[in-house]
Amino acid sequence: MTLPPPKLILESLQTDILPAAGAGALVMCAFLLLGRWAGALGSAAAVVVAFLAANFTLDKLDFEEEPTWAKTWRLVPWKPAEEAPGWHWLPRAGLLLVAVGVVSRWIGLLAARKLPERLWWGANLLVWAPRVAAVVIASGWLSSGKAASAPEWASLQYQLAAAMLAVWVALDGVARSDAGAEAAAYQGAIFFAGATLIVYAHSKFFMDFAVILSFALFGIAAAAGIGRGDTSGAVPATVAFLPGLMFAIQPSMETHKVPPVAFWLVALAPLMLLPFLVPALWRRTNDVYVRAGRAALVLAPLVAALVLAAQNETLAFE
Amino acid sequence: MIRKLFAVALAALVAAPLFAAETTYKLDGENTKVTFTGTKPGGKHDGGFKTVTGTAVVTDGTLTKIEVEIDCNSLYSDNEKLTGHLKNPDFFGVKDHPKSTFKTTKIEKTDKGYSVTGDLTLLGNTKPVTFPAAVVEKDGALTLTSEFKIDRTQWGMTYGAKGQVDKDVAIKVAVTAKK
Repeated sequence: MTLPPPKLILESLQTDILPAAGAGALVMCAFLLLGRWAGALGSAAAVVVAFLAANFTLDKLDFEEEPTWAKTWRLVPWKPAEEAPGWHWLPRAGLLLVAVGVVSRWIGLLAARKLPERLWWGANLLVWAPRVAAVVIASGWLSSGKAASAPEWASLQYQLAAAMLAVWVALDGVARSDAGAEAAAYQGAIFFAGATLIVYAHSKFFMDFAVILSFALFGIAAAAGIGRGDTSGAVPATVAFLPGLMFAIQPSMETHKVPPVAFWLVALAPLMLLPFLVPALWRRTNDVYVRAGRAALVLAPLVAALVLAAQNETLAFE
Repeated sequence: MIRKLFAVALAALVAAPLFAAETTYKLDGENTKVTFTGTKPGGKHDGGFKTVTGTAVVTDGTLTKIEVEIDCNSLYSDNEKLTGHLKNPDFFGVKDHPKSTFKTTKIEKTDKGYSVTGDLTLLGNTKPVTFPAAVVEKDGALTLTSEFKIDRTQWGMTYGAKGQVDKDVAIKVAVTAKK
């Protein structure tokens, strides 16, 4: 196995890791200073600011001309161009889902307070109906573009929508429990495994996206660990970016030998948290055996995916 | 008499372009080689495009127009894995941007040959480029050679631009087309 050259690691540290982790941790800390109740909103703001910080650059600005916000993106334009490939929509899809995630949760909380217990299903409906609608819209954006219009990608939007919803359901419950920091750390680990998988598929460019999300979530996890905060606000970013980076980039990618099942294993790794939403295990969230089991179950598909990639492809850093 | 002479002169002036010798040369991957050399600290890689189509127009022995379309999917390099990487969105993003085009906007004669200016579209972005070219039309054949550099980041190809891969890419164009 070839390790990345030190120059590449240092570049990633400077452009992806430090801005994302630093901004994520700082914003989350600032919200948690207001109290634990601010964790959900804080994690939502933290993941958005972390991506903004890592995608921001002054390199393209020509100070002889009037500087414009449009020239400050590094990896992906802030506003997708006409006929842009689906992955150009990743930030917008993430932002939409984060906003809908926060607002729908507030609506659900308000409804639960007003409604009698026998009608709480109505509150759940108010939470999940806008989320399903947002997922349908976001999956449409992510499956657009010239490359994705080829017949072999006809089912891409359905794959994306199904994976996004499943990931949202699995992560939302755990992130709202006392294991908020742990849930953010799992997401960070999943994105890091995804970044490695993308390098096996010969794209350092898309790897940068996964590294940014990975370290943004590690930063949020560190802050939430100290302040025992809820990190559910950051979950919708994972909902957009994880299936987005595992599936929506494939039409734009040149052929590689990483088996598709490896991408599915990483994209659906959060589903390993579903058993822990069962009330008996949910009540024992902080039990050391439950935590160890949760970590082992999340890491297992990631290890399997990387073994599959290593067996079929080689890492080459040109 | 003066009127007649003026009318004849005017008619000759109007008709002159009709009699100008304009020759259109068809360009393809066989007679047109577009190659590039990318450099990085301590190394370099060569590559090019196998499929190129277009035309070059010579009017009265003077190059007047070039239009070229490059099939980016025909990209090759001196390393198979690098070819895959170059085709990915890190560089050319050939699945999203399968074609690259060049169309001249101005061609001027210089002491050493020609100065060719045109719009180069790459990754969906169009930017003007100017390069020198040596052009000879003889015995029904056109030869054109040119070597120049472009800053790839101008077209949004920013991978490794912080020092891992040099921004400037050397381009070589060699045309040997027959009527």
